[in-house]
Amino acid sequence: MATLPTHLQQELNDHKATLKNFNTATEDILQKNMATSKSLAVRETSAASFDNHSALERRRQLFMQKPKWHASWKLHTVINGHLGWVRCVATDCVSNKWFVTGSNDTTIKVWDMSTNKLKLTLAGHAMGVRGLAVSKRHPYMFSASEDKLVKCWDLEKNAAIRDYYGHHSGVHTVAIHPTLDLIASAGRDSVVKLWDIRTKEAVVTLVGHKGPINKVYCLPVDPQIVSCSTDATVILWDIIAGKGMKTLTHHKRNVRDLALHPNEFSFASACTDDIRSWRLPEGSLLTNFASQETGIINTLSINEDGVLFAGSDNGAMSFYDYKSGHLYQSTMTRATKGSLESEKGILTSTFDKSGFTLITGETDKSIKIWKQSVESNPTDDPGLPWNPMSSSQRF
Amino acid sequence: MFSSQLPPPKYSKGDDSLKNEKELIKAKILLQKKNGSDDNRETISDELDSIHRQIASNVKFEDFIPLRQRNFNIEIPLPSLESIQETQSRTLHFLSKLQNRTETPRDTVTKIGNREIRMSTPVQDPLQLSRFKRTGKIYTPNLDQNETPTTILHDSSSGKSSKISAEEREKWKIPTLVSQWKNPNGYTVARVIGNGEGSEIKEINSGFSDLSEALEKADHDAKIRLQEKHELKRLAYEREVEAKETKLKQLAENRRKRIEERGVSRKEPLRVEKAESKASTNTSTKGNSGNKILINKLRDIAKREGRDISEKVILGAAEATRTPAVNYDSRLYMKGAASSARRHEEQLYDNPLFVQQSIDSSIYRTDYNKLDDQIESENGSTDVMSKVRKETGTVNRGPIEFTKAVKKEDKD
Repeated sequence: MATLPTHLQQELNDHKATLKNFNTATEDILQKNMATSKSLAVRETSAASFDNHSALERRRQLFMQKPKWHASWKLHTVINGHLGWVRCVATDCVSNKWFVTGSNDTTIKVWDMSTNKLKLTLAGHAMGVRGLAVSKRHPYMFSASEDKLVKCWDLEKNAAIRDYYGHHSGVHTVAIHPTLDLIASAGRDSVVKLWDIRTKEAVVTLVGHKGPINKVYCLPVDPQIVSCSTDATVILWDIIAGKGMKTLTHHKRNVRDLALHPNEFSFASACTDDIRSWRLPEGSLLTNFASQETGIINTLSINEDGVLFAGSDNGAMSFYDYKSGHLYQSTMTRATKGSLESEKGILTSTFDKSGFTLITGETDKSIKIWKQSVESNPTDDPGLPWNPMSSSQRF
Repeated sequence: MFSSQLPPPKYSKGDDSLKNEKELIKAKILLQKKNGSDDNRETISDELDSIHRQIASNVKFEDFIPLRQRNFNIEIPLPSLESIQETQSRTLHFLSKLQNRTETPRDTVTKIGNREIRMSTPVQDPLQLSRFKRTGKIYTPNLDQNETPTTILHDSSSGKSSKISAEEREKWKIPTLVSQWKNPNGYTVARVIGNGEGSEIKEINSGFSDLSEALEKADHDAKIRLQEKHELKRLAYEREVEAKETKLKQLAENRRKRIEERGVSRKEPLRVEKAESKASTNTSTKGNSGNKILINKLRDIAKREGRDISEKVILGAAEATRTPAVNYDSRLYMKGAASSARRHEEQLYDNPLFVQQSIDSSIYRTDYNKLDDQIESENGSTDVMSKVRKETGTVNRGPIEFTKAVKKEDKD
């Protein structure tokens, strides 16, 4: 079942053609509209009838709106300290005073958020650390590693207090349930395991992915687990039924990362050249981001302001407006002194609790801190132009 | 407007009808199998078509339209506290039920007669490496077979994703020797101090590079000095030779003059011509004359030893030992003749390290035959059986090896 049924596909193709034919016509109409009745158009779109979805109409509606402006991002600090790729980063979501990074050199390092100094190095894993999660409700931190272990670290004692055995292969990601004492972990053995934090028992095993799982998130209501995998699917899980509620099959390639929106019940997912956001709980398509030439996307993060950051494997950094899917800034990372040309990829990223700081972990073994410039304003720094192409209508 | 244009799904009226549909198809197939119908292909295509229609009934065009296109400011509120609490209690209930389930005892005890046999699975270290070699794919648990297939909602036909040709793949092949092209784990020699100061890169001590530079310079200077020395020596030698020549010339000149003073009594008849002709014959019959000498020598030897050897034999022997007149450079016949010649001063080695072998395939792979031989030779096993080849059973023949005789005193 790799393709759509033929008759449906044909139907879609027909409409694609009309879109192309009327491209010029649309733009004409648009210019007129823009000049004459801008306010009217806005009113129309707000009251747009949902049953009307001709390609032209949708395109017009898209053009009528303006994406939100965001200030551009600049490199603030480069922190060196790890001896391997920095594979995962997490912030202290309670006090926002420190952040933690895990690396291929098997260590976990805790850094001070304000001074960027090393506070602590945690050693205990035998192989590279792939996933980190800091709990809001416990003084615990969880780490997932390629040595098939999930470890629970006590942040008061600064020591590993529990190990969760049971994965058949390397663990790529770990997430903490927001309301229950459960953690979810997943990895190369393509199952999601839910562990009781205290008893270290694998309570539920969710089977359904056909390839290694890249990321797992826990939500307070159903679907309580969201996971993305190399089999190009995102699955929204129902814990009680023990199977997927919905499988999102829009992506063509390995879905490398997911990101939850902090203020909104939606999430974004990314595969090569394709970022999409989804409404929860039902998992319907919200936005197609303008991400055609982004390359392999390793990481996504979203802040409260509605900025979506996508870090690519070739070091490209793309900043999007979350709601419109508009790419407003596109830069490259700076490789640190002494690193190779090929060591220029972003592996992980996160916004801090305030949303004004972006922390990225990279293949040149450095941690980079990016800040939004304070003095920039929409007139001086408008960002990339808003030019919604048919990309937002692709399938 | 758009979805209304879609043809209505043929069979589906609801979920129940879907199930019925499936059962119907199954029954149909079974029936046809029983009957042994010949138009098997048709039934299969029929079945596929029905599956397609089933899927089509699940897909709506709205699935493809991004919701935010119409209005960027759609409100999607976070879940309410009540719903969160409700889900929490529901899940908690389910989980507690799961955990409090009476577990079947791990040890199973069976009684055979009076004996009690207890079977238990030993506790294993989960980090212990598997005793079985795992090939490529990791085991993926079986999926629920009864579920309907999930519809793939991306268009896999369009786009530039095409299969990679063999040529392209060849281009991307990286020899193992150059695998540093992308450092797969990002390991390096530690180049950063982990004191957390950040942005502090340890400077590499310049002493090493200074030393190597100084050594290089000294080497270069020594070479130049040697060259100069050689040059001086050569010049001195040349000068010496020149001086000798001029002296000889002078002597000759003096002699001629003296002869001239005595008067032109004796002519020098065709001296030059004679010499020339002699030289020319010499070159042509050089081999011949050499042969004559050899024949004479052989005769002498025979006479001395008192052996009676016929002329024929002597001639034959002389003929056999005669070297051909053709001159050749012996190096041409030697292996690697060209590579053994040094081309320039800086060349350290006669030939590159990996010139003969194809590096990638052979050097990192053990040649077990060679290894066996090597081990044997290291063991110093000199018995005959060790020389018998394992595969063919033939004996390795070579020149007979002589071993040094061991004296009796040494042995004792």
